[in-house]
Amino acid sequence: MRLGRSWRVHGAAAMFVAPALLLYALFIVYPLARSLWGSLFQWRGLRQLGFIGLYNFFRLFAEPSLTRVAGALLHNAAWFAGIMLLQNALGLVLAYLLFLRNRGSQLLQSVFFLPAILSPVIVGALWRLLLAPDGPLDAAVRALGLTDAPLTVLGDSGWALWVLIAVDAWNWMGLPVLVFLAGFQAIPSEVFEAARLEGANAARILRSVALPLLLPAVSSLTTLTFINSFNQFDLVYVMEGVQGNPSYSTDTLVTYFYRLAFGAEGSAGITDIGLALALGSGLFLLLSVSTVAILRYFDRKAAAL
Amino acid sequence: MLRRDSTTRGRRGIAVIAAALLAGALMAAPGMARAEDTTVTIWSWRTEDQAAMEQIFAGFSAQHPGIKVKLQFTPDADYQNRLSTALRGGEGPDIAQLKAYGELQPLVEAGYLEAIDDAVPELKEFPEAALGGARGLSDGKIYGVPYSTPNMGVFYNTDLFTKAGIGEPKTYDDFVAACKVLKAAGIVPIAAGGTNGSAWALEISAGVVGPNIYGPDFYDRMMKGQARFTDPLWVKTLQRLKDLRPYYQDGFAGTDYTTAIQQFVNGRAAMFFGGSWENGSFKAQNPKLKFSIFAFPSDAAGQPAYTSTFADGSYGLVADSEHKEAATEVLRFIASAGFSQQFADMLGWPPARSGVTAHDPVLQQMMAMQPHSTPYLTLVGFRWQTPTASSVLQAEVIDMIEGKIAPEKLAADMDQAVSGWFKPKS
Repeated sequence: MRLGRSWRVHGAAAMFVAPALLLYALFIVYPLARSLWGSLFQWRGLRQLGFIGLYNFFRLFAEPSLTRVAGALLHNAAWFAGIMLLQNALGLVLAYLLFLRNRGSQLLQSVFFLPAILSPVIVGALWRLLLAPDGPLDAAVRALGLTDAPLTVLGDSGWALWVLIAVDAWNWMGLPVLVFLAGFQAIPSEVFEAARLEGANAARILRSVALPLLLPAVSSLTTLTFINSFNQFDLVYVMEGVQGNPSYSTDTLVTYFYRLAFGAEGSAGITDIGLALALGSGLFLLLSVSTVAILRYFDRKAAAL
Repeated sequence: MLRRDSTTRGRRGIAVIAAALLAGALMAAPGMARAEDTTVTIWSWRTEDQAAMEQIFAGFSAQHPGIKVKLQFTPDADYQNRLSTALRGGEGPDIAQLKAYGELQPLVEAGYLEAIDDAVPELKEFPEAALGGARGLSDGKIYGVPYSTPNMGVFYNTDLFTKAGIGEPKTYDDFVAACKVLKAAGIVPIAAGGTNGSAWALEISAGVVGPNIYGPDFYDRMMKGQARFTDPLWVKTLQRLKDLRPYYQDGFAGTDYTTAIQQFVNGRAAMFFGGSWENGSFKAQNPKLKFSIFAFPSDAAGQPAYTSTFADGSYGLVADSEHKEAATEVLRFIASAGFSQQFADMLGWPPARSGVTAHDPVLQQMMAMQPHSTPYLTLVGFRWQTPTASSVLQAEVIDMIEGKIAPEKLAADMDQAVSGWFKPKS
């Protein structure tokens, strides 16, 4: 009797879950499993040939691929660090200032969030125009007398990656502002009052009182930033092409994947699907393991408070 | 998606009508069979050429009452993916415009195309330089009718040259002297750019200056494994692109292909290193622009100036086509001298076959350059497997010209990239 009832309850639950599960299996699990499986085979063009075990993974980490993977990984890591600093840390400070001031903060919050409604493709095209030699920023820099030389940052391998990171931060700045401001507002006002009575200044309150209480927000933003940074593609594609020019200085794991799977510029269809699938599987593994690690790190930190 | 669906539905509809008509024709008197029009679908990435192509094929349909030609265009950037996806799903066109050389092979190897050596006898009137781009690597068979063999050279603004009092340079020293005169007159000597993912345009520059440095036999020596990219002649080619840096516009490193083109078309720059396909687009963008083309001059006087050439692509027969007979008729038309003549007249590209008279003066210049030509090395020779020589050149060329990477290093990186897969022909 009890067994039957539990089956009925669980059966009903399973029925409700089934449609979503089916879609998930069809569009997420199956392609993922298929590409993992495919990475174990030799490919010639679009044709899957014989089973070769982990040889694609071996090739991925051997020259000439190793230089590309290592470079791309480094750029993705720099992207993560850059966004954490330029977008999230700066966003925290801006949110705090808005919180302290309050007046007009709603308007400013909307202003900060405005670029986030634009697609990265539009943002990339926009900044390409702004940053072109003879473009508006070039004129501004020259008018200020900062430099005589034309602005060529997008064609400069020393600058390009940082410019792209800054553009990405500009695009999504509104998100941390939004999240942190909501976080500040959720903290009971007595907490801030008590800290002030103890004689803490605004900076000290942010560091020692507010930040620990904002840990859940920091945790989600860090995780999101990590995933987005390591999946970075569209901005690079629009602003520097699939080669991650100049000299691969803006190459990311996904642009490298794109070249392997679809071909580089002017070489459409000249692909290495085996290597692409190995890279895709590796990226998936890296992202899932790291995401779990980040979440667990913040969980433990929150528990220690 | 939508477009593909409606195409299939349309084709299915036509099949039903055709079947009905056929049934009707069988019962009716002979001579009525004309009523069953066959529609041959052609896919192309040359959205720029749509108007001209529609006109050319309208002429074909007028001469072949039973066959209708339906042209469908997809922008270049999406074309190859769209085509291979459609072919895999059996929903491709009857005739597809095909890329050449290495980019053609995945479609051949997958069995999506049919060899047309015998079906299109007109192919015998094409030179090997044109057919080479349409051959399957594994079987050597021809999979498409080539439509153009572009070559490369220095486009120049004839008005600006006249105003500066200079003519076509005959030696490299002449060329540099001309650049100096132009620069002193406040004119940008050479518009160049390859940023924002358009570095292929700078690879073209290597194809413009290269043949006169490494000579007409270098391609064969490379193919036989007697020379490599680390050869001093190739390093010197790269070095030359860098030597010309003072004559590119200010802000070269941040300029892309489209912007560089604008500078030439608007008369702000006197020269542009490019290929035949620019001819029509220059005219379209500025009908008042007076320009011509010369082959980049050789170092010593009295030597012929060589140009890089390649087959741009072809039109091939899809293996799954349900209208092979009619499609073959269309392909034979594309292979005819009449098509080539119209193609050259309307679009200004050098035709792939003989028997064509050039009327456009710039096209005449380009065709006069062709007897002294050598295959476009990085494309014809080394764009077959990943990593291609082109991908390395395109990635590092701006830094090389800006002095951040030595030409020797770029040459060594290209050599290393292809050494993993390139096998010399003995």
